[in-house]
Amino acid sequence: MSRPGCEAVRPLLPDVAVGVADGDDRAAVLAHVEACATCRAELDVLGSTADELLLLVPPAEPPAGFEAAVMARLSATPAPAPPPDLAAHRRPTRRLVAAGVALAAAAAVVLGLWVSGADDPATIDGDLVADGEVVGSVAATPGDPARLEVTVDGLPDGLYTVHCGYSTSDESHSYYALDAGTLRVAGGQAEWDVSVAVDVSELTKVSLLLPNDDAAAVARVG
Amino acid sequence: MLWSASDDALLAGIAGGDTDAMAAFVQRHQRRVYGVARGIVVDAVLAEDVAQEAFLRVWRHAGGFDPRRASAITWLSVITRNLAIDACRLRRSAPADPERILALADRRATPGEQERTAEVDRLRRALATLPPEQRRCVLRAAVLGTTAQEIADDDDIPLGTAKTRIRLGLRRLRTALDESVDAPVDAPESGAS
Repeated sequence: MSRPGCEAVRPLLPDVAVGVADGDDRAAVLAHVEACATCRAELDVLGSTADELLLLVPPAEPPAGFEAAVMARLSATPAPAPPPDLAAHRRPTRRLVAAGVALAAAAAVVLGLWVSGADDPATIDGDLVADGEVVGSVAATPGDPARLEVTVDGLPDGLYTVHCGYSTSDESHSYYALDAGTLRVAGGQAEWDVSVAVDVSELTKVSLLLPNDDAAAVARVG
Repeated sequence: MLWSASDDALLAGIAGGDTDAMAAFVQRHQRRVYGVARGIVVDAVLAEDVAQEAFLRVWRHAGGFDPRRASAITWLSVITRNLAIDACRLRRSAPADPERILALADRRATPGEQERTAEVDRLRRALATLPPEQRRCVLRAAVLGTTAQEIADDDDIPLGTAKTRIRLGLRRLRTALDESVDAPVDAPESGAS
């Protein structure tokens, strides 16, 4: 499949710019803008302008005890890695968009964000939650290739699309999403893992999607 | 003193695991973050959860903040908006009434946000340069995360029209915002009430 051209990509830019495009559209746009400075500039303009509009939303007084609640939750969260370590980890990261990779068939590998020199891969993980209940877990281990593991215990049987959301930690801070594959739950359970050619240190969310694209469960990681 | 440190300095401290810097950042921006969450999510309890989660994201990802790309307040607002949209979609909870969001085009800065008065007024004036149908689409997409398809369905217009209105509206808004930066601060508003 050939890379979509500007005419095909331009109508997709608004939804991508405000972060609500589906995985296929986002993958197509991001693959295109890697090589097209014009559309990349357009996407930047649309995104930054949309983001600025949030300043119009008026502030509101949070409930009493909000600050204490945040700090209590924070104390149960591992401290972030110090910046020098982060920088050292990111510097060797380079984007290699594999030319000619079929977009539709390669949702997990369409953006090749290879981590080279990742000598100390650190697994990031999170609970998979559905309707407030923990129904499994997700773990991602950086490397070449990186690994993504999903364990399910307590979802209805069926096929689910494993939809991964990433937030780039580089200068763009942009959000993108890719489907990593399809997971089958049988007897309420599944154990699934896959190699992914993306920088999983940027992984923020894994959703298990129903056939109608509704999220049956979501894990926040990182 | 941390309480007078810049946002960029606080985020640098947070990236290094400084909980005092985080406490100062939360205290400084909790009204902004809760406001964005509450502006998108109808349910107050869910909005509070979204706001808390936004600060946890800051704690975990402060090292990724790049002040060259956006201000800390914009970065924080985007994190909150994305979490709020996710929460609405995941729980199938209806987001805020679009009419409330459209009213933002007319809003002026409140007494509690004097430091934002110039930015709010600049955005309001820029929005006023858009045709009403573009303004409506842009605000719904940018603030509520309404997709072009959802706008097309709600307004009974072709999908291509919705996409074009969002794209052209954002571009026109960008132009108006850039021109307002270049304009003298005390210049009178031309034709605006």
